[in-house]
Amino acid sequence: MMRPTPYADLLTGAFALALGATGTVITLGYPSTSGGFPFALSAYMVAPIGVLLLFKGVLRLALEARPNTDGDEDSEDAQHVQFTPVTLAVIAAVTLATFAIGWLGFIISTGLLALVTGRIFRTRLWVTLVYVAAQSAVLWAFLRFFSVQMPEGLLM
Amino acid sequence: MYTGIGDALLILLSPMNLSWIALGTLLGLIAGTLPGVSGVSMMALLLPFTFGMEPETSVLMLIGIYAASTYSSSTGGILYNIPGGAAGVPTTMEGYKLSMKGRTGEVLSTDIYASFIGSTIGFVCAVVLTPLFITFATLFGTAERGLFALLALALVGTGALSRADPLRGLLAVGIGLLVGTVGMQPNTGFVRFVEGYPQLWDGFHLVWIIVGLYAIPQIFRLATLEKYFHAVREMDLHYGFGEEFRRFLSLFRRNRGMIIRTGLIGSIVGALPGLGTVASSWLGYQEAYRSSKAKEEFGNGSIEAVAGAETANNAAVPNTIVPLLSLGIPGSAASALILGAFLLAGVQPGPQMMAVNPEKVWTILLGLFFTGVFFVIFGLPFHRVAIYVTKVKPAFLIPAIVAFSAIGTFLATGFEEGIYITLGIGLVAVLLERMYLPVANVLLGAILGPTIEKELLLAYQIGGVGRFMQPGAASLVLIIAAILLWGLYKNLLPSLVEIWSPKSSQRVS
Repeated sequence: MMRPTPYADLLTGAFALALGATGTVITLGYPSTSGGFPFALSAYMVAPIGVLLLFKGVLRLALEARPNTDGDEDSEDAQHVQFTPVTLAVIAAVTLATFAIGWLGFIISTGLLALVTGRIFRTRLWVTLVYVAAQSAVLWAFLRFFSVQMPEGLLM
Repeated sequence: MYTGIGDALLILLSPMNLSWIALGTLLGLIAGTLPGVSGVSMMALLLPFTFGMEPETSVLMLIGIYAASTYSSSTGGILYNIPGGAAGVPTTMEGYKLSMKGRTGEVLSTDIYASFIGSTIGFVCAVVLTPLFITFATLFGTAERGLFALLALALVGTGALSRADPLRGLLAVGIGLLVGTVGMQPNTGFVRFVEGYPQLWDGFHLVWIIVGLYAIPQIFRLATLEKYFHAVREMDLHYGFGEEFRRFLSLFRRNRGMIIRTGLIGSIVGALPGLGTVASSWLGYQEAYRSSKAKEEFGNGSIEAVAGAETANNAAVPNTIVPLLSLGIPGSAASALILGAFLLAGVQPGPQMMAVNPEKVWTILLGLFFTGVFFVIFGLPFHRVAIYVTKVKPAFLIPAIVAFSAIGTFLATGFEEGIYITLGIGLVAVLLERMYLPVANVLLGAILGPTIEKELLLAYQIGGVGRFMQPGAASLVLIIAAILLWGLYKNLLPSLVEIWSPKSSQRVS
């Protein structure tokens, strides 16, 4: 099991504190029978855990000899997403393609995504183009066969 | 208690249901073998497509994936030192070293036969435990139902019985519970957090949460996995099935006591919420070490360790479903997904299901046994195909998963914005993972949150605080408090003591 760095403790603590504080403020105005549960979660669970994590992070930064800033976190771990340039490019491509579904339509945006991922992974262009065509055809047939009305965008 | 078994066998033996189990088993083998692709991710991806299926059919496919991916989570570990899931880590530690010594065929065979023995022991235990749990559950009222769900979350969150970080575990549970409060309050109908968005008044749809938490991060994980695939592409996985089977029989004769004990340990641990297959495989490993006459082999490649860990984690699989079938409360991410399949089909698992549709409960339990048979049949030839599985390029896998996640999400609600919300949940899940927060806890919190809130509020409205002072409810309250204190004492205190220790102070000075 990888051990988080003190900075990860601080970041997680700050995130929890912000989430807990936001939840508390929003649910303050709710009736007690309807808002009691999310209020209790925010004020008595999430926010205090945030404070404890912040405290732990500060303590580790102050007392641990050499805060482990890179060792464990950078160790290869196939179970976690690694933020490499390739991953960031894929995240950007997937996000853009997803938001383009409503505008360009499902088939076109997933086809474009396949084209872009082919480029990101430096696959031969003709292989990528064949894959894009095959994927589009399979998806089109799938949607027709099961009568799924995915957003059609430009194809409408 | 055992009525409906005959009907269940008839349902199960229909060619259609057998085909779905077989398909689920194959998909589970692929998911477990591909590095970083977990069975739960595969289940999440396929869950939306089960909409409209008979509940037992969809659940049979999902448990096929779950059981086969648990078995094959160690295949990737044995072949290229990357387990397909956390349950495969103990086997990876020993199996990869044996594989490097040229004993790949022996390890893969031991893995599969020990897994089958484990799943059979687990199945027998599940058949015994389920009616007992159901009898226990019929004594529950609203307060006890809510508190038992809370108990499951306390076990999962604090890591009281494992070694998880309790602060992060509880924080993840808290985030999940908050997600579960979005939309209408179940008792009063008051809309929370999303007053201006009528499409969200029913809260986040289960499919958005499941696909977002499991399938979307999988897409981004694949981006960096190509390097792990190279190692296995050149391997020769041809070995004699008969010879390896005889070798396993000899191992079994020498260690049958240990193998049966690890099966029983796995079964019992599997039935406890929050522990499941991961804790079982480590306990199986420990039991194999304890009873071994060749302790020096542990850490350098021990076939006994592989047998112990695999028997235990596969014995746990059927029993992780027991709390779900008997109480309606999932104790792991995989059983939460199976609950999702039931809910999508309009069926609420729990004690009533055994009373009204006992054949559904038995179909699922017997289906788990059949899955064990299927993964032995498919698993041996699959080892040779595993090399081809790793030849699939992430460049093509990623757009395909995106496309099917989008279709699945859209199918569940017919709501275009659902696709964007799912992506948003997925991106948040990636960040949560980077903060070392277990997303399984978020999922369990989101699923159990509405039940906890509804049942506890109802119990309070009916009987006030006094309702929680009744023996059953009061016992559960005390157990929850004890688990919280034990989890914090066992896991949080040592880490704080470590920070304060003189050794670390000396290093500072």
